[in-house]
Parts: sequence; C-alpha cells; structure tokens
Amino acid sequence: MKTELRGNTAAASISIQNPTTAAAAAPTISGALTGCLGSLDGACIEKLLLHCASALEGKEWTLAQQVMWVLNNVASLSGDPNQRLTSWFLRALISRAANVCPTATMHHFDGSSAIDRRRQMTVTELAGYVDLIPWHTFGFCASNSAIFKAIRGCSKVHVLDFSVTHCVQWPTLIDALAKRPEGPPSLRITVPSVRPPVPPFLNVSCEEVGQRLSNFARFRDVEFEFNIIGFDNNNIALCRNSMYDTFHRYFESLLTSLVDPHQLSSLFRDDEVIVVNCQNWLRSMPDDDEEQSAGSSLRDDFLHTIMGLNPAIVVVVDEDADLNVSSLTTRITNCFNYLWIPFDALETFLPKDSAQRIEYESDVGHKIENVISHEGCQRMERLESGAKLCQRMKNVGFSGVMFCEETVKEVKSLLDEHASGWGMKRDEEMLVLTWKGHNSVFATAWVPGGLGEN
Amino acid sequence: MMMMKSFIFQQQQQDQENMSNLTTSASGEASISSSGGGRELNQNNYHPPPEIPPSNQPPPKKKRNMPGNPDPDSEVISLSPTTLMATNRFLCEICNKGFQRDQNLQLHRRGHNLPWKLKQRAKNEVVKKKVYVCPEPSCVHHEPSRALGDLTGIKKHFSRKHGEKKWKCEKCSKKYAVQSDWKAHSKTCGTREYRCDCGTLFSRRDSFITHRAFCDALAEESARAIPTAAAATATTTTIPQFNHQGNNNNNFLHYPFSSSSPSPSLKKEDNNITTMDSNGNFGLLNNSRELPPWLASCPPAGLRAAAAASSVMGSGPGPGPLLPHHLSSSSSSSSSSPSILSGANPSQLGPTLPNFHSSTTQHMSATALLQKAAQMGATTASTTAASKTAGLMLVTPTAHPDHHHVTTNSNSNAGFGFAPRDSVGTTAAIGGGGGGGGLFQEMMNYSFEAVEDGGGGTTRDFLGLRPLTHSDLLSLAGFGNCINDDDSNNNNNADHQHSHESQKQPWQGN
Repeated sequence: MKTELRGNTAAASISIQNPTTAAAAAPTISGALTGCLGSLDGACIEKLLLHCASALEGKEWTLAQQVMWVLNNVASLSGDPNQRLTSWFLRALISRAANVCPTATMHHFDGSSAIDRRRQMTVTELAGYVDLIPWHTFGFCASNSAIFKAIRGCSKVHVLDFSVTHCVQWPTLIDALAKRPEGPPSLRITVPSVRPPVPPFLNVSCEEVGQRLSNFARFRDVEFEFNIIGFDNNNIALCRNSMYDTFHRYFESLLTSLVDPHQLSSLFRDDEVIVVNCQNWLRSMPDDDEEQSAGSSLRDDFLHTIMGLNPAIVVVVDEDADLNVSSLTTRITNCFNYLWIPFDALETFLPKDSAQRIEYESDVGHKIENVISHEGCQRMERLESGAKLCQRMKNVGFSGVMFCEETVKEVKSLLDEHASGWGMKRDEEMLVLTWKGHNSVFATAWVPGGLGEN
Repeated sequence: MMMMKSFIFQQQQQDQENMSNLTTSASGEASISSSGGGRELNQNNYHPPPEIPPSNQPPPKKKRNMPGNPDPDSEVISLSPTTLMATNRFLCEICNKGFQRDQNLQLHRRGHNLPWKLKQRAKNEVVKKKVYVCPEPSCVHHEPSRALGDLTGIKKHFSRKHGEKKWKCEKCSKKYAVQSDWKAHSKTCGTREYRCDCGTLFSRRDSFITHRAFCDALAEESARAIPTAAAATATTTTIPQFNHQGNNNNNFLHYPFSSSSPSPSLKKEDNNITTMDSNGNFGLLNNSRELPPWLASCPPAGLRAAAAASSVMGSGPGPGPLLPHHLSSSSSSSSSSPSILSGANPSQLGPTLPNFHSSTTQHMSATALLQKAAQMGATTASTTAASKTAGLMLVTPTAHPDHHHVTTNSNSNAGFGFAPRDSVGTTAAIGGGGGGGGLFQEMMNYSFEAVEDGGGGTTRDFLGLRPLTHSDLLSLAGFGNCINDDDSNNNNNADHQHSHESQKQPWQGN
C-alpha cells in the first residue's frame, strides 16, 4: 500500500478503519480510495476508473456517479498527463453511462460518439500532426524501407493502401524511388474510398489527396497513378445504419469483389507487383464472430483475400495493446496502462496549453471513448497486441520477413531526431517502437506462405 | 479486476540516517549500493525488499526485456532523489572507494586479490531484474507500472523532468538538464535546414518531403506548369465497383459519393453530403445532433450562450475551433462567477475542470472527497435556482436552511434522506463550485429541469440515482463501526423511508 502522506491534510487526522468491514461484497468508493490518502496517483485513478466501470456494469448508479465526481476532481484537460488522461477516460465513462441509460439522458442524444464532430485538418496540418511524435512515422519509415527493398528490380508496382493517415506515408517512398539507381518504377497507389471513422480527419477529399500526390510524383519524375475503389454514383441514399456498420459492410463488399475474377481484372494488371500496406487498419476489422453472419471474422477474411492476391510484401503496422477483450474492466486497465504513453511523450516537449498537444490528445481521447463506451459494431477499436497479430498472420499462412539492417538504421536515425525517450527494439519479426522502454507501436512485414527471407 | 500496486517507499530521513551510517570513506561521500554485491547493505538498513507488482497483461515471452508493463518478476526499486543522483553509489568494502558503475567497482575489487569465491555474487541469490521508479510523487513514473528498466534511464528522466536545466544550446537557447541530451542537440541544431517554398523550415528531410508533397505551394506550381509529355503521368480515377454487373445483392448500401474527376480543382463543397462525405469521414458534417449540455460541457447559465455563439460544433471545412490559448489562465477567476468553466471554450473536448483547486485537490484526502461526493445528493430540486446562481456544486446546510434538514434522523427528510453534517459542509475547499466541477453541476441542473418533481419526493438525477444518506456513505467508507446498526442497511432503509412516505405498506391495510 502506498503509505506516503502529503503535507498536513485533513486526512491526517482521519483514518479509515477496517475498510473491508464495509459492505465487502459490493464495490465501494472506500475500496477505490484506500491507500490513496492524501494523493491521487495513477494507480489510484486506475482503481477509481475500474470501480466506476463495475458500478456501471452492476447498475449501481449512485456509486458510479460518486466515483465520477471524484474523478472529475482529478481530471483536467490542461493539467499534467495523468489529469489529462483521466479527463478523457471520465468522458468515455460518462458516454458509456449515457449509452447504457438512454432514457435517463437528454433527448437528441442518439448514442453515438459525442466527439464525432471532429475537427478536420488540412493536409499540411496532417503532415505536421504525424510528425509530432514518431507514433505514425515509425511505421511509415519501417514499412517504406521494407517495401523499397521488396520491389527492388521491379518496374511496375501497385500498392494497396489501407491506412487511416490519408497517404502521408507515400511522399518519402516516392522520393526514395525517384533516387533509385535503376530508375523509379511506375507506381500505382490504390485506396479504398471508405475509411474507419477514426481520427485524424481531413478536410479534403480522397481525390484531392491523390491529386497532390500525383503532382508530387510528377515533380519527381515518377510515373504515377492514383486509384480509389469506390462506388458508382447511381444511387444516393442515406445510410440508415450506423456509420460503423456502413464501414463494415463496405468492406465485406470490397472483399467480395477482390476475389471475383472479373472484378480483379479491372483492379489489377498482369505485370505489376502487388504490395499491401496496412497501417492502423486491421484493428478496425471486426474479429468478433458474433457479428459476422458468415461465421468467420472479417479480419481473417481480409487477410486471406490479401494473401490470395499473391503480394510481394504485406506490411502491417499497429499499436501494441490488447484492447479487444470483452471485459470492460480489462479494457480499461489495458487502455489506461497503454495510452498514457502519448500523453507522457507530448508532455516532454509541448507546453500544457499547446493547441497541437490538446488536439493530439483529443484524438487519443476519441479512441478511449470508442474502446470504453461502445459495444458491438460501434466499437471500431479492436486492437490486438503485436504478438497476437503475428500469430494470426501465421495462422492465415503468412511468413514473417525480418527487417534488414538498413531499415533498422533508418528507423534509428528517425528516432534520434525525436525526444530521447523514444527507442526501438526487435522482437522476432517485429520492430517495436518504445517509449521509455514501454511498447507502443509494432511494425511487421509478411509474405504469403513459404520462406520469409530478405 | 483490482490490482494492488505496492512498493516500499524509502523516506528521506531514513536515507540520511543510513547514509550517515555508511560514511566511512575518506571523501566523506555517502553512497548506498543497490545491487546485491557481496555485501547486503540493503537488508540491514532498509525496509524489506519491495513487493512485486503484478503484470496487467499475460506474461510476456521470456526474451523480452521490457514488455508493455514491467516484468512481473522484476523488483521495484525506489530511491530517494539524493541517492539517485549520488555519483558514487557503488562502494568497495575493502577500501571504501566509490564508483559510478557496478562494473567499475567489480573491476576494482579484483585488484584487491580477493579469494575467488568472494569475487562472485552469492550463488543462491536470484538476480531479479530491477526496475526503478521516480522519487517525485507527482510524476507518472512514480508508480510501478510505469517504472523504467534501468538506473541510467531513471536518473536521466529525473534530471530531465525534475532537475535543473543547466545546459544551454548556444544557437537556439534551448535548455537541457542532461549533458548528453545537450550534446546530441548541439550536433544537429542548425546544421541542416530544408526550406519549403511556402517558407516553412524543417530540420529533418523526411518531414520536409512529406510536407512539400502536400503543400499548397507545390500544388500551385503544378497547376501553372505546362503539362509535358513526360513519363510522369499522374491520374486519379475511381474504379467503379459492385454495381456494374447488375448485382442484386440488396445488402449493399449505396453511398452518396460523387464519382471523382481527375481535375485538380475538385471542389470540396460537393462533398458535404448528408451523412458521409467522400473522404469516407462519417457524420462529420451533420450538425443537427445536439449534445446533452453536460457532455458538451457547456458552462451553466450565462456562459451557455457564449459557448453556442462560438459555434463549436465543428461545421464546415478547416480545422475546428481549437482550445484558445488562454485556457491555462482560466483558473482562479471563476470563484465568484456562476461559471464553472470560465473563459475556455472546451465544448468539443469534454468536461474541463479548471485548475484553480488542482493543487488543493491533490491534497484533499480520500475521506474528504468521499464526504463531498455524498453531498452531491444534497442539491435538491428546490435548490436548482440557487445552484445555478451560486454556481456551487455543493450547497451548505447553512446556505439553505429551509431546504435541508439538519438532523441525523434520515426519516424526516423529504425524500433525500440526506443529513449533512456541519463539519462536512465546508465549502471553503470547494470554493467557487470547484469541488464538483461543471460536469455534475450540469447533470444536476439538467436533471432537475427535466424531472423536477415539485415536492422533491422522488427527484432523481440523470442516471436515476438516488442519493445515499450520509450514514450510508460513511458506512461504505468504513466508518460503519461508528454508526448505528440501523443505518447499516443504508439503501434499504432509505427505500423504506421513501415508500413510507408515498404509500402504505401492504400489511398496513387501508
């Protein structure tokens, strides 16, 4: 137990005696606060969050409200990292409470995320956003390097880009290809027209992004084509289902077409080498069997389909945490003990009132809310850890490709440019970005079946 | 799933006492070894070895050095700041010479020609992996689950975060606490600079490239450039899918897309359609959904209009309103105003508790917080107006004597069963509504508006909560011994009281 007392607070004169005698069967605030006399630190906050969650699950509204009240005293969007993190967690819990008790909440509140109306960035802002901390650029760097290596000697390359960061990954690859000794290949990048409704959000269309990328490629003398797998514009109808459902359905349809030979011919060309890029993407593919009427998970289907395209390389980058567990309390624990990382990292070099920092944190908050307050198909964020992902890839039939030394060097020099808490380590086929030694993002590369050599 | 995080905190006095015990070296430096070594210093003078924090995740593979959380078998070491920063912590027991690193000490000891067995660590000593926590209590690395894996790391962290920044870069005046950080920075500061046409400077090439690719400056340049017959063709096409073969699959939802055109000047306005724009961004542009006030954390009463006026609902293009930079200054001025969330415009970002009592909050005891939590139920329906104007989350009994029954007999309460004690009703620490924060203020207010029940008999707040009696809460907090057994059935009692007032028991007949 943490026994330290801070200063002379009123607590010093009151001791909580025998907390276990009080309604031991039911979770209580005393349980949450025991050991936190005089200070509320991360461990304490975590306990409070868990108490709140179990109170909500157990429909103990009074207790839930009271724990929320206590948490609200700790929470602050502009305080220290723990306070900021708590603020987002509290918000997520409240949102959950609202979802759980819709009748008790306000009219008009349709249960979807309160943070839906997100700010949209310009592309330039997005470029700066991903540059703040190496959270995304780590994956970009490792992937681009692995892709570059895999397409050595190829003259026609087709990249299937499944990512939430709107193609900001590609300029550096295009630049590297432009400088290739044998000259650049002709490059095609294809993106789906629908992305998971998660931040970061852009204020321009996919086409616009593609156009800019095309301009840049032309500027670097790289033959380039940008494609969007969309829909014919015959029917315009409102999506009656939730946005999340829409995303999944789109993907089911996409996958169906990707295995249809007739469709394939319009998408792919004979002489091109296929590369698949998945950045922060797989986690949005549902894995829960209950939700798939077909009986198998969309996530596995996606991977099978990808493998069927016989790609030269598949890069998969995602966050290293297990957030797709059914137990709410486990999710809260895992989330809290993982997402402190970006908050801590941003604290090292941005002031407390920095707009960039607050925006970044609010995007993390969006994730927190999705993980905690949503269930079913509304819960987009279904992260699985790197270790699990690797196992999944192997089960589907992929073999891991080790990142070469050049890649490691490039990533290292990228990290050197950021705060010194960022590090990197290898774990079998994974390259893992670490913050102060704690895993944050993992990057992997795969080829279908057979041997996975460099 | 509760996790007990425990470790022994070595207090400053203890350290100093121990250090004086060990001061035998000529230099007068006191140093304490944290490694096992041949000499079990730690065992004699300190608390028993710290406990092992359980891991949050399944046990990692053995070869991992530092999984997402510290290895469950690792030993958590907590050193005082002085110890941490002490330079020569490894003492030779023969001559008391101090060394900064254990390996240096070992090297030195060999020179004393010790019998071979003394040169090795005790065979039966299990060398556990050590992780270190930061001595600064408010630091995130103070708790075991955020411990750092090596001593150098925690030393550096402590210096950087909590230490004085003694090193300054000459070129850009940036300050560093750790010399190696300063050196690393000086190497690259100003050496490479990349400038985009738009004027932005970058020190890293990849950042520059990424920016440049999307920069408006480049787009303009391309638009002006005469399209050449260069091999670099760049086209954007949408590959139509799904509808071409007359697919009758009715499961498809048709998306309100505009099919793309290769023209560079795609107008963004076209994309503002209903529920999904062609970014694939859902629901962004639909402003008709309202947020419940408390979730949007609109400040109460007077400030609500102001918040609405600033149209924070993120409509249209461009980045939405950002938190104004004066957020940090929002704090203490709010104590007398009705607004809990003064100044700041955090509507997009959720409940914001101004920090004016943040420092006191941290010092508020658990018990005090509990007691205040209990008082939340005290804001009865009849105090709605008062709550708004006073802006107080918690209302003292003295402020509204006609609404509160200051008695310990919960039966007499008009439905809340709440008997606040004078000693608890101190608003001093709560101040200008700080204790409860805008969030619950709003929850209360809103619920009272919506659900107000006249007589205040069965008023409930938004979650359908029934406030606990004060005695309920105290017994929950563990003060049960001090209270009558009557009250130990807390909730049940209150229920019965309510039903007594509103209806007769069945057995009472008519």
